[in-house]
Amino acid sequence: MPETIQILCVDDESYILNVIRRQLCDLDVEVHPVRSAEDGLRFLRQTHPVHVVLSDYRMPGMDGIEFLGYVSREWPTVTRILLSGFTDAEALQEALEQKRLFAFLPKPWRAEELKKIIAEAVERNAERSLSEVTI
Amino acid sequence: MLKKNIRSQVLIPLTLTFIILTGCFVYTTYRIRMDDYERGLDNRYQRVQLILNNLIANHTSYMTSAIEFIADQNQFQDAMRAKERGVLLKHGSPILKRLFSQQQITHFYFYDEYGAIVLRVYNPDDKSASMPRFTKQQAMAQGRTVSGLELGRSGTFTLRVVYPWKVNKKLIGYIELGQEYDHILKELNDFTLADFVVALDKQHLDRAAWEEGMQMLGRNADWNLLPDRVLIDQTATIPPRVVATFLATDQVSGKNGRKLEVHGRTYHANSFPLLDVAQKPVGKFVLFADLTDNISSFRVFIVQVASFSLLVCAGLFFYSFQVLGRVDRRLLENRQQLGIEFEKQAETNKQLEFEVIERRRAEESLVTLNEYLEQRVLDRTNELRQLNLQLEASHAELEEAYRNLQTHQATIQQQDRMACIGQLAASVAHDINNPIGFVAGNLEVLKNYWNKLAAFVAIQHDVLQRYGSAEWLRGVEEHRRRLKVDYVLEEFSAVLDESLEGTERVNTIVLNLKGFSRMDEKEARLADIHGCLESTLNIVWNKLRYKADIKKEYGDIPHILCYPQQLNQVFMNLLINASQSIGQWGEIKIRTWSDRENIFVAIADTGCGIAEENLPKLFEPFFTTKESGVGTGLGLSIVREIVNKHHGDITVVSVPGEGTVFTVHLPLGKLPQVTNHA
Repeated sequence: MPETIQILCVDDESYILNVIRRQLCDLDVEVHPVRSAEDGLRFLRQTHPVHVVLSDYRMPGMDGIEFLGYVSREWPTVTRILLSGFTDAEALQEALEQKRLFAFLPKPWRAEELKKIIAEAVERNAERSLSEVTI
Repeated sequence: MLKKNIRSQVLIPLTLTFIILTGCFVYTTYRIRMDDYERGLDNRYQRVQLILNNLIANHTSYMTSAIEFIADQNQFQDAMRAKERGVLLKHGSPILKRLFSQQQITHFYFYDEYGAIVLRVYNPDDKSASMPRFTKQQAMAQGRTVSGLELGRSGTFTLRVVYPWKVNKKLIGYIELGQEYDHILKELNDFTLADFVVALDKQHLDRAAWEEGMQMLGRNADWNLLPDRVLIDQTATIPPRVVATFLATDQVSGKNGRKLEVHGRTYHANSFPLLDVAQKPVGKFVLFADLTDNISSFRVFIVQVASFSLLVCAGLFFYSFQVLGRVDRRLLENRQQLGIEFEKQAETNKQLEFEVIERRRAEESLVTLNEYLEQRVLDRTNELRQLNLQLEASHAELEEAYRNLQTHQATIQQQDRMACIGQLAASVAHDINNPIGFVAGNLEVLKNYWNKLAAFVAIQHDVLQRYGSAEWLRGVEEHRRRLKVDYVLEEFSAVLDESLEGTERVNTIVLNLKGFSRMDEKEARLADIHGCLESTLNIVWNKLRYKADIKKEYGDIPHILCYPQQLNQVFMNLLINASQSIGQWGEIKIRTWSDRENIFVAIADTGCGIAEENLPKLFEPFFTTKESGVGTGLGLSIVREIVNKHHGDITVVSVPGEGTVFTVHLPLGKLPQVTNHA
């Protein structure tokens, strides 16, 4: 029985968070919006782990790649997606190469793309859960 | 030497010449005189001869006349016929006397018709037979009168005339008259005053008779005086010896005769043969002319001439001597003066020669110096030329470098500018993309929501139609019309779609601006040229869309290792140029193709074209045909720079008024291989 997918959205721009929430309203997902990487980490430590982390790249304080790096180290099973209007290509390449990222979404993004990536992430998560169960 | 000799040198030849001239003159005069004399003598001889002949002829004629006179007298005729000697003698003696006294006729003969002597009138006692004489014989033979000189035995010459005595054509005898030749000669001598000698050949003479005859005539008779001749008569007192000498050499003497010296007197002699009646030469007739006086007068003349000449000569000599002496002195003075001047001149000459040598030496050194200087100048010129060339070369290099630098600078500037724009774009991109992100997202959400609402409204409408009262329905329909709900329903989707497209465009612009953020990309990478072209087209779209139709003929080309951002700039510059060349509206065609090793990108426009003279300068930095402020003149130079960096090249074909085609050729695999990050 599939549980509701928990998605952590990190962006300093609240409108972005709203758009994401609205775009995913038709899916069986629960979106937790936070305004910074620090809030995101705090949220992850205090509450239940989430299935997907969707982060903006450029934010006050910790940037998206660094944040997702933490996430990959502490919660490696969480699917990490970077969403950005501007990216340091080298850093992005490095991140992609080290498989710290599941996907990269450039701003502005298409709702379809986002839904497709989330769907993939859910599928991936389901497979992993299945393997965990098997173990 | 000269001084001493000038007199003798002049005077001796002068005197000699004078003497020779005088001698010549005297000799010539003498010769002329002598010739004159001789010619005169010759003439005289001839004249004498003529006179002699005439005298003989006269005498002959006279005697013939006398004979004819006698013969015509009857007394003689009768006596003759009768042969009466006494009668003949009686009548003949007086006639003979008269004839003798007048004409010295000495001989008178009567012969009978047979030639026998009848009577010798001059000597009647001699009754001996007469000598056989030529004249008588001839007369008897020819029957006519014959005359001529007969040489008698006694050495006497007698002129005889024999007359055949005819009476009534009957010969009765002969009459002969004769005259001694001496008498004629004497007459001749009297007449001509010429001296002469008559010599007879001995062979015709009988010595005794001759001596007797001579004795009878009272003349000297020397038979032995001459070897072959005897002298029978002579008028001159010329010694017989001299005559003999002359006659002995007579044969060799010339026609003008000979000169003889006798007793201090000079004679000129000439001879002619003495002929008897039979034309037989019996002796010589020698004429003498006494030249002594003539010669002495001639000598006097010669002496006078010679002495006069000598006098004149002496005078001239003396005068010349004086004059020459003076001349000599003057010459001496002049010579001395000349000597002094010559010495001076020599000294001056020596000085001059010395100066000339000095001058020449100086000239030589000058020439050497000159040559050296010329060489130096030449060397220096060459060096300078070399330096100049080097300078020019380095100048050209510098210019080239400067131009390159300018190009580089321009490239860098443009790249910098583009990089700045890129960086700006990059920094702005996030700020723009965020709002664009949520605008676009919200629009999509709105679309989703709208679909839901529209569906819901439709359902409500259906339900109302099915179950609502007519009055409600009418009220709802009225509101629906007033609010233009159908129009809204119809338009809503379009509004959302157009808004979404707007956000997309903003996104594209921002993305493309970001593309220029890194012009100095360090590493080449594999890229799709079509992607580059598209990216560039997006950026310049706003500039092109109102100027031209864009046609794309993309061929199948491989990815190429390149600096894509820089190629973007190449394409952008070419596309912007193309759009600027088009006045109102045109077409820009982008064509790509490749062979195995190259990729070609051609960008063609239908613009104004490029003038042919501008084609070579097209890629030079700062060359522009655009108005001031419109173009920097760097665009195409940057293009070439970038294409060169890719080891490619760019060519241009342009027809003014029709358009231009730029073709970029990029070789494959020229750039170093890098890791593919894609």
